[in-house]
Amino acid sequence: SSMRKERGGMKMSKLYELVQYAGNVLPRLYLLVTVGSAYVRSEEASAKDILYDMVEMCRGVQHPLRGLFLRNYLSEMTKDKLPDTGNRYETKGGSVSDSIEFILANFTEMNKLWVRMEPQKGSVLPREREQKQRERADLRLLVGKNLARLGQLEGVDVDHYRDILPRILKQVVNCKEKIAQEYLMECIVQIFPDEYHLLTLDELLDTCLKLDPTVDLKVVIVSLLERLSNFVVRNSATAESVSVVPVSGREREVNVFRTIFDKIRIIFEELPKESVTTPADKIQILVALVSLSLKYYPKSVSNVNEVLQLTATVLEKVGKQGCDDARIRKNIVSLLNIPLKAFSVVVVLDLNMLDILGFLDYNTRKRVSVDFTKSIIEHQTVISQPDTVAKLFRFISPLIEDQDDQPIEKDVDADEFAYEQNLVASVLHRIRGEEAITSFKLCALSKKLLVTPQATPQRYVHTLVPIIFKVLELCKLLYSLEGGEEDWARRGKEIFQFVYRSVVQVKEHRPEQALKLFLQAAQCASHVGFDMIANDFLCESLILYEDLDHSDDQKKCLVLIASTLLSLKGIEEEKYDALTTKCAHHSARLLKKPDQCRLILLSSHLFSKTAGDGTVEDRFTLDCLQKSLRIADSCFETPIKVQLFVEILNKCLYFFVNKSSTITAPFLKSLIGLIKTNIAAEQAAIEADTTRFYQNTVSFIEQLKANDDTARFGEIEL
Amino acid sequence: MFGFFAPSAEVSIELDGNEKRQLVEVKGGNGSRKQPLYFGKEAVKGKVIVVPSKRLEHNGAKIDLIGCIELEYDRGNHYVFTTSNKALAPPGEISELTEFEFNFDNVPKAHESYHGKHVQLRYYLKFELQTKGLSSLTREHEFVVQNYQVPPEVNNGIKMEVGIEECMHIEFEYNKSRYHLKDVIIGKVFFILVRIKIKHMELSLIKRETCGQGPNEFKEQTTVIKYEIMDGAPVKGESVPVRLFLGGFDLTPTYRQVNKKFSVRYYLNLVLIDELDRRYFKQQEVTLW
Repeated sequence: SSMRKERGGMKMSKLYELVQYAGNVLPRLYLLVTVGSAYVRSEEASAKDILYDMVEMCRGVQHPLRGLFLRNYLSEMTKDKLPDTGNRYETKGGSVSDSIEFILANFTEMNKLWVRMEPQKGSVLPREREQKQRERADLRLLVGKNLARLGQLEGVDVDHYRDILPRILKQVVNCKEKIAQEYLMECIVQIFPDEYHLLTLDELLDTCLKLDPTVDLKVVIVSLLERLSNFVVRNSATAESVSVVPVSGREREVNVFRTIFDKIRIIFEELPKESVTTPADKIQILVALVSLSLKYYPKSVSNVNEVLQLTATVLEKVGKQGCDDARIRKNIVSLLNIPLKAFSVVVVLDLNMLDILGFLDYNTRKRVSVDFTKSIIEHQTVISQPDTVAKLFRFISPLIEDQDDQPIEKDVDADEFAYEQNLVASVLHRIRGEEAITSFKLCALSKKLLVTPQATPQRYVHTLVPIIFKVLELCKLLYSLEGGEEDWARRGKEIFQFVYRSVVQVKEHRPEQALKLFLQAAQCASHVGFDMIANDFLCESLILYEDLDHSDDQKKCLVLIASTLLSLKGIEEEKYDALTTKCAHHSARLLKKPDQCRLILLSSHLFSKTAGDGTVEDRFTLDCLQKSLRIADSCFETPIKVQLFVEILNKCLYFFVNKSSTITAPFLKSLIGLIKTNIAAEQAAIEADTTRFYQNTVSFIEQLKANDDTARFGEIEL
Repeated sequence: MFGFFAPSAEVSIELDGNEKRQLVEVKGGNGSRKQPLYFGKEAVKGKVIVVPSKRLEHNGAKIDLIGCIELEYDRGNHYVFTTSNKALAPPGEISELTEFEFNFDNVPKAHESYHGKHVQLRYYLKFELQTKGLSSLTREHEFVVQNYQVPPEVNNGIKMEVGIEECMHIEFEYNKSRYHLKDVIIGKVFFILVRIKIKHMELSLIKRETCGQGPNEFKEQTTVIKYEIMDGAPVKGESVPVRLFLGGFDLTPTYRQVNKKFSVRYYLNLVLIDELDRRYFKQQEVTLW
């Protein structure tokens, strides 16, 4: 009504005519739009007639920038005056179809003008060209707003959309200009609801092939796929409920994956040579597609497989050389990681991944293997079938054996190497059969697969170790289950043969490790009653010992050998004696005096035998103790000497407490005296730890004396 | 008009129906004045009122209705194309206010009044009261004549393709070739080939008044309307609408060789201006009625 006051009661139609007398076209059209929109609001004439007239007359401005702003003004002024279902401009003023025509007409013209702004090659300097393109890019929102208007109309339902979309797409294709096409496709994807997209996948994807070759299809397709993926997530829906879309009153089911996949395959095949969509882009598209498939059809393995097959086809065309591109690699890794995280290990190993892996370079393949093994370990998957094991090992072959395309490196990164082998070892621990016997068979299989002709020892000397340990464990388990049965002897022998052969393979490159393994095996053999084998294994370890030349290694290994020997209860006395003598012999031959002393001290245990009735026979024990005492005494430095004395004292005390027949109280007493003398002589030089050790020992003896019923301890004078 | 003598009477002419009659503004050398409008077939009637200041003897009163064409270059030579004469009173004398009624009801007024730059066509009533001697009392009263015309039976539009070889081709279209004075020119311009960069396009309406012949021919051209119809450079395939309302402008109908003396013709001029300010145009005559 305020409008009416302003125009002084003049009819809108008259005003509309009056403004057209303005001599210059641009101000005239601005006035026309201003009056025209008031005209529509006044409802003195049909909205559609006025709208059509305005959008037609705007053709008078062919200057791109001015035209764009004029039409934008038209769009803004009319946005709340478009006939739509349920609003006041309907029926008499038109229908939503008229609004659609109006918006499309405006959009078409705006797009044409916008495309016209693109500076032609060679007509402007490169610097100017960049600036013009930037200015042009800023204006894209004006064009896109028209599509947003279409989306805002209430009356635009699915049926309308399916009529409109081909027309919009035709505009997009016809303008033949890269920036416009990319932007408009993006707009379409973002503005209209996902349910509509699900129904028009064919049209959208068909258009991709018609776009200018300079358009990067990845941008368009990935944004569509991501949106559709999010749609499912947003609706926390299942594929079933989402892909049933209401159309014209009925419901239509859409197999989202099938439709998209088939179209993408065709697009890849028919892409023109000049297209800027690179293989890396194609794979990125497939990554998005796999994600989508898992969101819509989480259980479908065949979908994923199809995508992987298509990937392999794409890569084939590129060739292995061409795949040596950082982006392609990165995308392939992403692609492979998705099913890895979604499916269980067993399923993953059945997918067509190996073909694709073949196209990757060595380092990337290795990385994929590493990721895969890490995933198995994280999920604590159990692998229990032989063919799964075989597939697994084939998959992670870069970690297991040298590859044809492995770069020759002089210095392999030790940390990295250790890490990788560690992973393989961890995976080996996850291989477990349902029963002990099947587990054993799997171990045997694993070994076979690790020690292939192409495998270099550097690897398997590490990875055989966990297998060996597993087998020993299984051995004990089997023994506890079937120890009494007839078959056990044969079975056990088979196991230990396997162990022996395995350790031999380790022996050549890691003798120290092999030595320890033999000891471990010896213990196990003893535990399950195979004493002969235990003896043999111990001998093997002694043989290996003789090849050690580093005194620290020697000392450590000797300690282990002696300790192990002590635990082998069932060996024949003769053989046992031979071994213990050997031990003592080696102890005496150690380079450093303290080491000698300590080892002989340790060996003393070997010579102490407890008979069935509890009596202890230990002649040679005393010999050992005395010998060690002599060696200790011959040491140059008093602090060490005293330390050794205290250790010897403790050992003697041990035997004494255990009712040794040869170690007597006087012996102890004289030893104590010796220590006291030495301490007194060079108090300052002696370590605090040693002094404390001695004091503790003394306290211990006093305690024994105090609790003593037999007065045995009373004889020890302090 | 009054002579050099002191006015012996006041004369005025009153026309019938003036209260309701439409007035038309006529622009002339002395500014604009409003004159009553008559249609061609309409009777011109009224009365002459003479108020003598003293007793007046006269030799008769008459009134003429004159339609004439005055050419500027030929001053003094009025071509009278229609005239009618009525005697109002025989010789006698008048001493008080006297009214003489007249009625020209069948005088052909075929041509419309026209006031142009170099030529005028006008109608006027001339009252003459002959007094002693050769002098007389006269009074003139001008009026305007307009004729309704019948809408032309045939009124084809104008459609034409023009261009410059390898440079530019357009096809333009006007919905009629004959427009009445309150009409709207509706049409469009379609670009078939565009190889030059156009700045804008305008449509002008040009009025050409020609009078005289031979060495005395005068042509006067004025651009009555200048109307921009396009801003910016179009490309091939674009079509620009034309909508020009004639009603708000001061136009006359097309006159062709009125009494073989003068013509007033109108032309639509479509002009394209490129970025170097070169003008390309195409002129097309239209008939206004």
